[in-house]
Amino acid sequence: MAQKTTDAAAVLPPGRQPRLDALRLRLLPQLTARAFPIILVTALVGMFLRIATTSGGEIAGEQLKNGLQIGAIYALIALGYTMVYGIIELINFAHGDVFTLSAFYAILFGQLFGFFGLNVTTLAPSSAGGLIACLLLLFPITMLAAGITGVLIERVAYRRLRQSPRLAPLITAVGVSFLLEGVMFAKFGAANYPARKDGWVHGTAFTAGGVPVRWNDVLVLSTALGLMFALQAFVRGSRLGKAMRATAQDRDAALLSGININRTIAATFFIGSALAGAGALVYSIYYNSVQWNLGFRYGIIAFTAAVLGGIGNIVGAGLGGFLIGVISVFGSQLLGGEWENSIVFAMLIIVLTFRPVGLLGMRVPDRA
Amino acid sequence: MSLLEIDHISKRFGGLLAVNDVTFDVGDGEIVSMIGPNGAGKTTAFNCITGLYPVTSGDVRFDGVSIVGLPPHRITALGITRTFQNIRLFSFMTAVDNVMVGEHSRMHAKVWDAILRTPKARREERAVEGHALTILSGLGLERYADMYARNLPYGFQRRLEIARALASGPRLLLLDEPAAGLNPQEKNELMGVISHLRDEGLTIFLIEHDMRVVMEISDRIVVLDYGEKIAEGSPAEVRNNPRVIEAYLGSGATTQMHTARSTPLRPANPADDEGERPA
Amino acid sequence: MHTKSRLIPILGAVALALVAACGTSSTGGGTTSGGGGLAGCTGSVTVASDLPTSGGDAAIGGGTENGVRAAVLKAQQEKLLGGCTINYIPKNDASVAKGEHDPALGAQNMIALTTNPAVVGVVGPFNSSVAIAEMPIANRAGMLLLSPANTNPGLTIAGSRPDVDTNSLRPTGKVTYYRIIWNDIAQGADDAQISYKELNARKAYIIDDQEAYGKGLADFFEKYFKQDGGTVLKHVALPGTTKDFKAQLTEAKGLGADLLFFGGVAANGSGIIYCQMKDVGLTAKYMSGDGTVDPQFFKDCAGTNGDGAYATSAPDATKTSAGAGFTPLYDASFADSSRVVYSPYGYDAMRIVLNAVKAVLVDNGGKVPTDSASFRSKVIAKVAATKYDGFVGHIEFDQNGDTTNHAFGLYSSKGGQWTQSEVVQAPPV
Ligand SMILES: Nc1ncnc2c1ncn2[C@@H]1O[C@H](COP(=O)(O)OP(=O)(O)OP(=O)(O)O)[C@@H](O)[C@H]1O
Ligand SMILES: [Mg+2]
Repeated sequence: MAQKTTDAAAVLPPGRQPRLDALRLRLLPQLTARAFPIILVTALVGMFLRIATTSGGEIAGEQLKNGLQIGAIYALIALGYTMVYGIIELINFAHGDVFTLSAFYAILFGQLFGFFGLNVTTLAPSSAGGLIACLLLLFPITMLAAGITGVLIERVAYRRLRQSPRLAPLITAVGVSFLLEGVMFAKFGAANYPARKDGWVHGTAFTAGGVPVRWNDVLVLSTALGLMFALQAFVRGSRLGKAMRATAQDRDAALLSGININRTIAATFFIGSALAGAGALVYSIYYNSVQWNLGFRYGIIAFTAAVLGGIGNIVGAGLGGFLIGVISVFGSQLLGGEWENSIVFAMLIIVLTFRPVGLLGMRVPDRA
Repeated sequence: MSLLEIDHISKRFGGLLAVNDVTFDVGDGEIVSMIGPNGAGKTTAFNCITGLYPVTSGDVRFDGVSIVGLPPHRITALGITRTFQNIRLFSFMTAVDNVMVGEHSRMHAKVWDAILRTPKARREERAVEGHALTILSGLGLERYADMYARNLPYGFQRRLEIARALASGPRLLLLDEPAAGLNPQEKNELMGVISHLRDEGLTIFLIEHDMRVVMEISDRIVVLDYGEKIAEGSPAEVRNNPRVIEAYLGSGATTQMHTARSTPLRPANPADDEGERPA
Repeated sequence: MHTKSRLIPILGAVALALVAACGTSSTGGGTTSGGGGLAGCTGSVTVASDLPTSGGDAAIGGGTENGVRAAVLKAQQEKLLGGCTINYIPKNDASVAKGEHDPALGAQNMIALTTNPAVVGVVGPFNSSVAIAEMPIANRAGMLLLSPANTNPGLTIAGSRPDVDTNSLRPTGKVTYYRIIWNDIAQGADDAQISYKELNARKAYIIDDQEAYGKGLADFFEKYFKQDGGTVLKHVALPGTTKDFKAQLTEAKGLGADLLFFGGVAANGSGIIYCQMKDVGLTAKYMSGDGTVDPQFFKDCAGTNGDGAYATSAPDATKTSAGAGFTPLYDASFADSSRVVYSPYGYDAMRIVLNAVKAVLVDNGGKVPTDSASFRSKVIAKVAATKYDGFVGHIEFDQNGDTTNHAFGLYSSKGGQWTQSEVVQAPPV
């Protein structure tokens, strides 16, 4: 970098240019790097206070909770985008649809238990124990199925294109997205598909500062936070996690260090998709219905979250998910709900323009 | 007995024959150097041996078995590892993590164990970490263990590359310009490390431009020019070979190459070096 | 279910045969009078319908078409046109490509029907978007189009909808399109009145689904709710893909809303919104239009959670004294399970067409007019002057072609079903 600056200075006529150049190259990025998070946090606090003054602190608190809850689902999806981007620099457009498909898995597995004489629909709400049993059963199998789906997509659609120009896998990803949506449309129809998990998780868990937090919210938030911490620990500490980080940082060097790249990339798809699967399961419980085209919107919002946090950065994706959730909820109260999508995409454009590396940066220690 | 046999290998990039029908051996326990002017095809030969590039023709045998066509991680597992001409550490991982990645091929826990973090996987990780620390201290890197690779002093980054390469327990170590960018003191230390490794039973095959290093530690030298082997022999033989002298004088003075290679400010980001990546 | 569906037509047929044998005239068919003056009529008259009867619309469109068929059968049985026979051409505007009603196919059907000189009038279409495609074609050909189900006000009232150019639908300037169902202006006014007077709501929070129908209905609701004296706290338009309305509903709670109005179809969130109201603790009443009266509502908000919502829709005529006779009439020819709310509308629409045809024949000295164009325009003139008591109530048309009958069913949700609690006459608008 230092080299480049001096080179540029050498060819420029003497005068103010070099200083301007220095400003552009060093000062401005530093300024936006510092200012961006500050502006963002200030904006959020301002929005919160604005809602609190117009509608009362409790409503503002509830909106914050709403934002965190929807943000938790965005975060779980964003992790998959960020992991895959980190390791093969592909925006996996099909990821949002893997999320939707996994929500259908969650519904179908619930029905399948009925087939084995185990009625999840009535077992779960009957007691806390029954619910926990059902969740312990549904989480692993939904995540497993979601993970396998992700691995299959990578194997069939992306692996062959790994050495091709970037555009080829990107277009393939869009194609896979359409394919999955088409399959879900054909299989489950155009309408909202009922999840039949009514009353699985119900009632208010506790009230914090006048804001009632329901068990449903607790389930979604704790799933997202728990899995994010587990993922972080896994990527930092485990052998496979190290292999992922190594592959993300230098694929050839990783290859020559004895890492099986194909298996590592497949594992990345597996984990990313399994996290989306966990998100899909809690989504199906929380919202109680799923629609074939859900993934398009959730996918794009989660992708924005990943970019906001710094694509390729796991902690960033989680943070970005929560932030986008809160921003969209606050924004839709203050500007009107019709602006929700515009707010999210304005956010994407702002980040890409002023802070393309995102809040936590694309190349930080925990990148995977 | 020959550990590595290079048997008439060629590598073509479009119209360019980067390696042209090259044949030589590296004996067990030897230190062999490969020299040649810039662009002679030395690194390309390394890439062919380690499986990063498929050879266009010819055969590479390790311990008598052909390794042509094997994926790189399998070749690593068989016992060949390498370092890179431009440092390619995992810059955002700690030194000890870099070495642990190098031990990857020796670990036996399955992907499932890793995902589920079974006791078996954890036990293995602990053992591997211990081993990694041993390697680091063997190379005098113990105090950098928990530092990110990118923050290590340049000379120690070079060493860390060697440490990572050693982690998988290789029999043959390929070093691509290990002395590049080192000061004379560091070069001496490097030579000490290389001799020590050979004494421990490793075979070493290195590319090097620094003639002092090459002449001092090599048992044998292979010379490439425009992809072809133009000479092979003991340091004394090669030094006096007229073809070698001509190749070097023709492409500029040897001293010039020394300085060209001595820029200490290598980009830490591997992506900056396009030439090393497969297209 | 099976035995029932097989038994009922048989029983119905027996009943009908008995009625016919006894020579008593049936009720509810409007003015019935043998072939009065048309005994000597020779030749035939052709009428048609254009409804979506396959794909996603098969159930609702098919049930409506059955009502139309029932009217034709009834007229044939009672020899409404004396010695003249009635031919009937059913057209389907649901295309394979779209899997549901398709304006392009509707236009094709309309060209085929208008270029067939024998056809004097058409019952249809079902969907407003199809009407927009068909109306100019029928208007240029001077052909009557009588819809049993279109509710978009823009089809008849110029300037009522920004997205519909009413005058371009009538290129000749003459009114050739009529409908026997209310439009969404009336529905919006009705919903506002029910909300204000019956549900005692004063502060409404409005959500619409950004679609022509939903936004239009919500806009009219807003206008009339304010006129009635209520306050509209906010009106937000959210795309049909929205699945999480909690931000809006929490806001509504904060604003102290006592009514949540949704303008939109069930697929775009009717049930989701209702369930999420309970999630955020918004205790306001819930009111919506006919797009919400759909089984999908209970898929999105099942069990007792779905109880207690209100919505207006076409009144279930069979539950009124005027429409009481419709069910046996329908069941005589079709399975009762295929009957929909719009079946009596289909019946009455076709009956109005046939009554008009009969009046033209009588005026013409009991003969079928030879000139197709003048026959069609005379039928339109007779329809415009309609005074008809049908299963759906009394029908007359205003100068735009709209019915003056603004009866709505007020439905409430309970036990996974929409049940009509009363029939309401909307205020004049
Ligand atoms: N991936 C590639 N695609 C095309 N050409 C390549 C590729 N890699 C190397 N080459 C070309 O092959 C020739 C040999 O390159 P190589 O890197 O093997 O030289 P070298 O002997 O290692 O030189 P140096 O001393 O500069 O490292 C050069 O002309 C180089 O441009
Ligand atoms: Mg080289």
